[in-house]
Amino acid sequence: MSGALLAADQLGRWYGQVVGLSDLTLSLERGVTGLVGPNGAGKSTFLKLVAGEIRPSRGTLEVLGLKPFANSELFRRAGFCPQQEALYEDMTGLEVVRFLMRLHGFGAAEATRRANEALDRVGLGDARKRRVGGYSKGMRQRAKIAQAIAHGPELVVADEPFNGLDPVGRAEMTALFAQAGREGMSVLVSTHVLHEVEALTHEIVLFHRGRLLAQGPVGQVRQLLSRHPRRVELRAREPRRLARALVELDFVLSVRVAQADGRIDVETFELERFFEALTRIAAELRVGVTSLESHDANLEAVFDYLVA
Amino acid sequence: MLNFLRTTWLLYRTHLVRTLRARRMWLVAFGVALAPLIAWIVAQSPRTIRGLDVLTALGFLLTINVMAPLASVIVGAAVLGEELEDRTITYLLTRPISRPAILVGRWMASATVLVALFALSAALLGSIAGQFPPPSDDKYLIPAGLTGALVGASALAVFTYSALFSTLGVFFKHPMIVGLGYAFTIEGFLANLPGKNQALTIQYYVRCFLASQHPQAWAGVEDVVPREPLDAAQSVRWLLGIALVALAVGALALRRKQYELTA
Amino acid sequence: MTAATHTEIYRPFRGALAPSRWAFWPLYRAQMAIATKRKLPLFILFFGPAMTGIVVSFLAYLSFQIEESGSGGPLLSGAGLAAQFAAQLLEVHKLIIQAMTAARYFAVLAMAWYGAGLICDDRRAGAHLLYFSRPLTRFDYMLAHFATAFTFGCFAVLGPGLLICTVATFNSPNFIFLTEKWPVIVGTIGYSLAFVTVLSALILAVSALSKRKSYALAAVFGVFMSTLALGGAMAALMRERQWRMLSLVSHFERVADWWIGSSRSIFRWDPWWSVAVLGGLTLVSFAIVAWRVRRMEVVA
Repeated sequence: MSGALLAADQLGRWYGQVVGLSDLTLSLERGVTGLVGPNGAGKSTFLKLVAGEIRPSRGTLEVLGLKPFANSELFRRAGFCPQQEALYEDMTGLEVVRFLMRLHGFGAAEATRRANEALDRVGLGDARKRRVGGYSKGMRQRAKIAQAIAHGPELVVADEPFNGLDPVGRAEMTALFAQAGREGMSVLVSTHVLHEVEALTHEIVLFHRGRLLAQGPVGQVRQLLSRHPRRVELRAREPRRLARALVELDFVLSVRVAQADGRIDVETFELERFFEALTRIAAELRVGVTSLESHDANLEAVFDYLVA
Repeated sequence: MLNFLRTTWLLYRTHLVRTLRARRMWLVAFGVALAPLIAWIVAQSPRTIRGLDVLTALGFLLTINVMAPLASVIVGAAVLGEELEDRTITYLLTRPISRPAILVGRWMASATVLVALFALSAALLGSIAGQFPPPSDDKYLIPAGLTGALVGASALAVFTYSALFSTLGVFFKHPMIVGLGYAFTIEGFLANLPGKNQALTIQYYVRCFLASQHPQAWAGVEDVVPREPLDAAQSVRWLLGIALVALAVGALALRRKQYELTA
Repeated sequence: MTAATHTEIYRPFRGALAPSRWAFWPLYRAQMAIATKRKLPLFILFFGPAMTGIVVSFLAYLSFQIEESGSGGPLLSGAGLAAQFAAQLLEVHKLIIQAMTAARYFAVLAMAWYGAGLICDDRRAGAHLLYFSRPLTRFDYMLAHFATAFTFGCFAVLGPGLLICTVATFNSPNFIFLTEKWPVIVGTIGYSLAFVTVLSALILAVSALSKRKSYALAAVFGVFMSTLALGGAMAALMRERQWRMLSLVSHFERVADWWIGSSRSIFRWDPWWSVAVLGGLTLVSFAIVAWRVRRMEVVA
């Protein structure tokens, strides 16, 4: 248990009568993990628990082998980027990060060096001496990320870190987290924008209505969803001829040919057997298969299936 | 312990600078400057006014009775209340620091500013009151040490009030309302009722401190002299004790306190 | 769809507004609903005024009961009885004024609590952007906020006043309090409404000028308490009671004395001065609110 990044056992947290998180049993390995779920799914509650900001109402949670609430040892090894935009408005970006680094126990010179380095890393180098009150939303997000990574933590917990960032900013921050992951830092990122997580990691934890819905690599999670047939989209020179042949396969559920562009939509439960059969049919009939796509193996489809 | 001292010092320095920069300090400084300002205006009047009356009436009615609790609640409630309202407390609570240091360090910074402002204001008031023409009757002369007593009482008052109001921030989401309610409705009521219940207020000990040193000088101002006053040393002990107990309770509570902040 | 660019920062509403003057109503109702959602502050803040009203009403009731039981004897002449009732009715005036004085700080606290955040919280949360993107005029916006503060003020001041008057009416023989002393009831209502109007306007103005609710709250109390202390200190120093005119509280007390029909030697100035000061303060407050709300709309 202590080797894992995080282990939760029957973890629950509620706010008065509102359930934030319910009966969560989960173990995460080190690396980059994406927390996905719609608004109000319990992602932020979970991250606040992981970051040690709040206590569980029931169950246990260990992060890096430590109980997180008010645990200085964990705070030394972890960095937290909270969801709220709040920062010290009357201080400059550099002052904020330097001040927080001083709280980590670094001396003045070292804190300044780390603050500068982190601000450069998040792309705020030019704005470091501007007051945070004048920062845009995106700049605030970057400053928040800077303060979370400046002390070189083993684990970074980031709650919706891409909110307010423009597409370029999103790409940059995604790259930053991915790079941090490659450097050996564990990253726990929450978002409700699915493609952001996909660009960052394949390891996901899916929350819905305060409960754990799924966990693991996106592809494997998708395979577990056997009650939903997999959809494949094909294009061919002779679509009707190909469709006729596909209908004959006993593991194909349905075949539909679009009148307008000849696109073929196939539904099957056994994707691998289908691909094998398709290769054979295409070679035999020479129908000229030009494209083949399976859209429902992505995170968005998984999410749709699970919460539908 | 070392971590506590180090963090306290760091937070003290940072919060001191931020407090001095804050716009609310202008409001507080204006309020604190009101007593010497009025004294100076009164000094320009052609009427015969006794310096002793200026010092005692403005010093007590305006500075001790109203401005000390008001300024303390504005500055004290911001010690934690501002971090909570701005939702920046997360940054402090997720750092490897001693949590009580957050309250103590930030309160120390607030108390430093308040004590300095009030001591300066009382000293200035005393100095202006000393400029008034000497009265014909010696019993209306400003006794030696009266200004010093007012400086001490003002400083003690804001020291204790600010500690109490800072601690309220640990327990209440809106410490300002609780502080105002306490200072001007509960304490205002209890401190002016005859009987032992006066001892439940900070005002009582501040008044005892004032009255114990120059009872004759304060006799002209309503409500200053309690019926059963303590001596100066006892009053100081009580006031410091209240401040320390309040801070200790707040610091202990903060060690295990969790704040549910929304985005 | 035709492509278009929208480079303007601010586009004022140029459509035709619905003629109804009740556009403020939904906003007012929403604010009341939000404010009354949390019961604990409601209980704490109105406990004081409620207790004041109940205790003073009980005193009024008790005085009439004692009077009735004492006047039952055959020895008391008609003139004596009338004199006793007159004295008793005068007591009720005093009780009402005492109740108003006692409830004053609770009323300020309650009104400031519910009113201080009305405008500054909107600005902090950006809620005004939503309001001004609807056919809601600045006037409606101000009216809704004013009505919210005003309603809570009425609960705190008018409620206890009316309770005392009602108890006095039903306990006075043959409703003599209503038939003979109706100007006191009118005065109580008038004073309560004036107090609440002035204070609501002041609170809104402070809210419009403040960055956050807590500062607005402190500023309202600051104005109230510092002018009271200043007036008292100056009156003591200059040995002239007119200096109490520096105090907002004294003006309220002067108006209460005048309208409810009591006279206290502490105030020596013409009551019209107090009406003028309070009226002027209200106008200035409304002007500040209008100016700040206009700025909010433009910046939005």
